[in-house]
Amino acid sequence: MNNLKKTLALVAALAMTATAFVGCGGKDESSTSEPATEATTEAAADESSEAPADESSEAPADESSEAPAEEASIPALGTPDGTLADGGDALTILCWTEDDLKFMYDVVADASGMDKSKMVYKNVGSAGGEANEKYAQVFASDEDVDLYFCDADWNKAYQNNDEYSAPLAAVGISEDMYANAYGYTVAMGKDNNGVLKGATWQVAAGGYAYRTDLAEEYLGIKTPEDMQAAISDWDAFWATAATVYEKSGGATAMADSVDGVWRAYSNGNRTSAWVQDGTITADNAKACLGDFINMAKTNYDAGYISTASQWTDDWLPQGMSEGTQANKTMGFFFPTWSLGAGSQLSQAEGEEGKDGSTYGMFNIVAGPTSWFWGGTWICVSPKCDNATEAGQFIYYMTADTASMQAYVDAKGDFVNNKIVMANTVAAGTNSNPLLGGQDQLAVLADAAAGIDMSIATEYDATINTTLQSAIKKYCEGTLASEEDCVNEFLDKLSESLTDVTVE
Amino acid sequence: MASTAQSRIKSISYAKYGYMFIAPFFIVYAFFQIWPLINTFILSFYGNGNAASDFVSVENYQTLLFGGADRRSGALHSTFVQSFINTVILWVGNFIPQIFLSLLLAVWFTDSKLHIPGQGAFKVIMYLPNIITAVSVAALFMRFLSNSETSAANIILQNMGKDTIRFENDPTWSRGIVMFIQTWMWFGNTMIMMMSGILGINPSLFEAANIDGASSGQVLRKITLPLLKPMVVYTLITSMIGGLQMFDIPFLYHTATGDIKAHLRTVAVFIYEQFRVGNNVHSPQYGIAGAASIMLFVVTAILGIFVFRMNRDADEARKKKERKELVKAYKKQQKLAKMGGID
Repeated sequence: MNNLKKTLALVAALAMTATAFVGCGGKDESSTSEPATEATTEAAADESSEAPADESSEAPADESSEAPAEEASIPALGTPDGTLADGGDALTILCWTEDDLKFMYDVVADASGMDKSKMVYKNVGSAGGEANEKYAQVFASDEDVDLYFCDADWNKAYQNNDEYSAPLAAVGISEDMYANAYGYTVAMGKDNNGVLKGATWQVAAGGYAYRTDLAEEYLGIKTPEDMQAAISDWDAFWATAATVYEKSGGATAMADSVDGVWRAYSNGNRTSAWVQDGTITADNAKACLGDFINMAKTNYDAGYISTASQWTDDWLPQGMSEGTQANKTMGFFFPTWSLGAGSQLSQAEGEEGKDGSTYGMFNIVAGPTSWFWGGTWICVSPKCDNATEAGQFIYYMTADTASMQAYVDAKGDFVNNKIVMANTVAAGTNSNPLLGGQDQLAVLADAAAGIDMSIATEYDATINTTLQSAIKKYCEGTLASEEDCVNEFLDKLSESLTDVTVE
Repeated sequence: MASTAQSRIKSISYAKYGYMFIAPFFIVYAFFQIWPLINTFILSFYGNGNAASDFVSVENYQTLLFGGADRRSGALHSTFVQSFINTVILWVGNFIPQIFLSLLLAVWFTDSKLHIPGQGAFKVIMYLPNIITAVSVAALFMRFLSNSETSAANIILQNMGKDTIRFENDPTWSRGIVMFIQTWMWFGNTMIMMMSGILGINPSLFEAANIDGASSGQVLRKITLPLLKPMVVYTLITSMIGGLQMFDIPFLYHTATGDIKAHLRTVAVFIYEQFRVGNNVHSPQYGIAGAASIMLFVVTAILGIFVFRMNRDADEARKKKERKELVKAYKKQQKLAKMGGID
């Protein structure tokens, strides 16, 4: 009896102590079990054909016969230089969405012979700047992270911090492996000292995805070529917007959101870096903004830009033909990563066959400017304990031609390899059912070649969100004038940036 | 031999088990509550962002209270001042209807003459909003009244052929909605407090009043309210402390990511915004956040003491004062007597 009481008291005390510590644990979804089970089933199926096929594809020399002449040969994956630990039990990848990763597991496993159960991901489960915040929490704890995905908006911040990122050389990756890659991706992967710290598999060229049925109804346009001619620059874009607005009786706006227009403008027309020598001067801010604020306000008031905000519940349903948001926009400014299955475009179209679904009724064109939006870089954590596997993952996802081709065939993503993209476009094998069978890779290839990220800074994430919020306030009428809008933007920016002087 | 054994038995103290059992709480409390409190105070004297380890003395306080010539100090100052004003507006706007409503209901529910049927059910229903987490409440109201064109109220407006309203952008609407949510969430709680206060009043007073033919209005004004004063003061102080730290609803009431409204930014929201990593891994502003927290603490403490003093029983205070004066006079006489002189 006495013992029982004592035990009960002890259990109660322990339970209380334990609950007090609950808050310390990470909230991240850990996914060890899921990919593992997936892996076992699929590995069984693949086993027979796997081994011999990938041994040959590893050697780049074999590829040159079938690829176009300009292909540079890629050196084989090097060995880790020993600064990072090796032999950990699982390659853990920190990410904010696992959609891409599910395809990557197959590609990497096929190419390298790595056991798929060795690759696990840790999803922080939130997008945008919030993911960044969750990352900081994961890094602050002692959780195992080998690789992590970084958004273009904030990857510079991680790469410039040695506490968060290790050089890719430490896992056997060198710059000459990216001879076939798009140049800007390599530049964006380097920290301020020129050390390569990140590599990407994707190129996030952007375009304008529009409703073909509405284009025909309001503009009489039947082909993407005619559509591109009608919106070839911003003036033409807004002129077309006026027609659409008029013909639709004020129901349909040309652009999906102010944020979307800003993305296209910011990464297509801006020519100056936001932060120069650690300061943002009023003049430079004006130079960066150009006539954007005026353009946004005028067209917002005219009804040419929809009132929705990106990433809210109002945003994507605008692409459907029924519901409260039906037909509110002619099209969306979407980058390559928005065009695949399960991504933004498929949400905008709604499920095939459902009421109001516009499945397959979109087409993509380059739009008024050649622009890009984001992209995801893979970085290596200094606490990485699987250097060999980490190197393999990066190599086969970002450098190796054969495995990247396999990824394109599976996912339809625009990959960071000119040879693969040229081959895919030439072969004409890619057809996206969401775009009614159109090949988005061919449309966006020119935009991809023109991407220049030399003016990106590590503060762009903060700057973009702050600016979008200020401009929306001006558009919605909370701020009275353009000057107030700029002041509000600079004030809020100065509050949140500690190491940049805002004048 | 026997004596040593006896003394040993006597010396067995069970107190140590008691201490052992309460130790986990105190260890956890010291670790997770007291240390962070002290650390907040220390951090408020240090820099922000990359300069978090530089001692800057009272610079953070200066920036928040008086601003400065550069854009950053000015912006932080005006945001901080605005957030204080917002906090006071939001708190006053939810406390007045809340106390009024809960007093009224408490009086009704405790009135023996009224005999409201289904009292238990009413009490439970009115307390329910308090049980729902703030996040769910915010989500609920976001679906109903928000900037979004697909929020219920806007859909109704559209169907009626009227213009949609951006409820979040309009200061009157959004503040009104936050006040309403706060009132709705807390009036049940306050009502229970008031009822316990009223039930604590000696029933013979009510009976006597009834026999004397007092109207229910007179009973309320002359008996219930004066005797309920301690409970009202208690509610006022706890509500004030809670209200000045108001965070969840004002913070959650916005549709677009990160779009916290300037007219809803309370001090606690301001502190959180500065403290968090935000969009930039370089910029958690522990110094500014710490300084703002300490100032919020000081203001809360001062207001709390002030309210407490204001509401102290006036008679008691006067008597205490008289007693003090008597003692003083007595001492003076003693002193004079000692010196041998007579006044």
